[in-house]
Amino acid sequence: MSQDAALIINNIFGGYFVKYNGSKYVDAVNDVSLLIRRNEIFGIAGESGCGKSTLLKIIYGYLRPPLIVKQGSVILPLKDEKVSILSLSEEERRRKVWWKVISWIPQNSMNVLNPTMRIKDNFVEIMRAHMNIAKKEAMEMAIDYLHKTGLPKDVINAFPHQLSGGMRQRLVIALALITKPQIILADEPSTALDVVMQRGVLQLLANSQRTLRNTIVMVTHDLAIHAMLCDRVAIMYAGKIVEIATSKELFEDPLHPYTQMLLASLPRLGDKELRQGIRGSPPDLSAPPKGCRFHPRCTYMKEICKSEPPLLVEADKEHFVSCYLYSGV
Amino acid sequence: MIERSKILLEVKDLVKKFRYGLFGFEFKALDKVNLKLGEEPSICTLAGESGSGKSTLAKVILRVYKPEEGIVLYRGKNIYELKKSEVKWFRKEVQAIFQDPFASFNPMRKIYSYFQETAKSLADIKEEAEINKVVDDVLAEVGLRISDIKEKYPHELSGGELQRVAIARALLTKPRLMIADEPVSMLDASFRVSVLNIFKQVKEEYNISFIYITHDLATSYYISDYIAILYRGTILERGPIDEVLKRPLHPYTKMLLESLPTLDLRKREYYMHPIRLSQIEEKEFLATGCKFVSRCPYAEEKCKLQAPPDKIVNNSIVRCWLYHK
Repeated sequence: MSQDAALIINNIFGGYFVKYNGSKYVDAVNDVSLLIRRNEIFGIAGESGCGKSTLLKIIYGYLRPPLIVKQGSVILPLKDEKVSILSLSEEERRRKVWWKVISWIPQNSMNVLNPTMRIKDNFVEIMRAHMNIAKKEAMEMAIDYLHKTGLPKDVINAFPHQLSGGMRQRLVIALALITKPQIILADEPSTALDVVMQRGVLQLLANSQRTLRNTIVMVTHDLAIHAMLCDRVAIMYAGKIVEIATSKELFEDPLHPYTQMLLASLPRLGDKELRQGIRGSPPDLSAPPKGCRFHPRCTYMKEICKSEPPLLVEADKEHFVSCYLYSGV
Repeated sequence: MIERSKILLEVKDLVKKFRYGLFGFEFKALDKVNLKLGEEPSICTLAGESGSGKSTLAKVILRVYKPEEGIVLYRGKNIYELKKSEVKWFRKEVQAIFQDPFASFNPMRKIYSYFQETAKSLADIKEEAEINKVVDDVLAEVGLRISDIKEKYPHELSGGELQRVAIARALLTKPRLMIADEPVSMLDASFRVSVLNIFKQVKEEYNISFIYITHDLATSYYISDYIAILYRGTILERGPIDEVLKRPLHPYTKMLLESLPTLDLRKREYYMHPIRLSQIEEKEFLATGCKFVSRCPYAEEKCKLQAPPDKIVNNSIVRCWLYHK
């Protein structure tokens, strides 16, 4: 395996067992393999229900029912050992991995701050839960840290409700970074914020990455954010990864028909040309279509697309795509 | 019955106050808002971040919130002084579409029942066969058929389809004005543009004007003719869309446009240039001068003390002291 791997994700099959009219399995992540490198911002894009947040939870090892992993492994290479995250018990993950090596910023996390406590007390409480330090020391560290991250000092005495959503979100990100984790998993960290706040939040993430030289795995549906921030991007559709490429390749020369149609459907400022959406809708993942999961909506559909799922192949250097248009069948 | 006037909708010096928290201070969610929509069908965007007052303004125009000061004239009539018969007329003329289509429909009710209800109560169509026909017509307009929805409950459709159903239902009353509050922000990208295309098409074919509320300037540019930029309850700049988004005047509009992430990778470096952000929200709401003063790179002493009045520059109206020199 490559020396610079931060995370190696092997053939993950995971999803949700739900009891509704009998029981059914929602196939949210199907045969996903990824190699995420050190010192990179890796983006995962896709529409709602494509499995991107589920994948992030699995990578973190946050497996709460009804989420299960049927198969696959997540390998975390550390200095002296290789940790297989999914083989650990939750207790071990908590002790060895969470916060210390990997921080997870879940969706809507700006609401995690305790509303009855001032920001400084929120910081101290969380720091003391994860680092073995005294209260006074934690307070000094928090103030010093906020100063270094460029967040204004007067927020430390404020209550969460006095702050804007963007400021709260930046504080939560600052909290997730305080233990200097090697890997940060960020799930829609700037969604629900206006563009200016969003820019502030993403700048904070990108700057911290540059300082710590760590890895960020960033999930968002907003392709423009990936274009502004990520080194490489994976596109997910209906539980499958359909394309992985560097940002430059992905946005300037997309290969998969889904990526192409998605990019073509996005209105751009300064351009009023009529655009078309993608016909049909994403499949129900409790009964996904056979073969390529995009075939019912694809304009290039061939016979084989209906029966055999295409493999993810390297169509160009560093550019992987899962489509028969490129695998020469 | 109704006098025709040159102006479809006119909002004059509107003030709407709310209280922050249960015992909190009072603040102006809308502060002297002016807006005008001509008789010619057009799409006007109200753009702004969360807390800018864009949804509050929509609700005032829909007669949900009564403003403390100022008036709203719809085709020359003050909408808060309508007679009983005029209220029904107003409901027919002005329809609304909201952000979350799943929250707009009762999950226990079949979708078709909404069409029946609207047809009977507002469009005055009583015959079942005739209802069927008009419903079929409006559904065709949004690319659906009656058989697609007849026996269905809301959860059986996708978000995109349900939002199209909401538009079709609103069309039943033959409205002149539709207020669409973040109608595509919950939809996936692949559905978004088809809903936006329907707005454009309906504007042309049914002569309907739209107030399109959004925080997304790219979709706004795609469909709108005019735009008003809101910030903390005031409209800082308004005018024709090409004017405002291509030659922005107000420092806030400029900042918004510069902060827009785009698919163009050449913009990356610029996107990472540090910016000034708001800190304590309540201070901004209570500011007596220009609300943008704490984040404005051009702020002067005067801006803190006194809010600037509207000023016409080129084809836009801007509220900034920079243009009063």
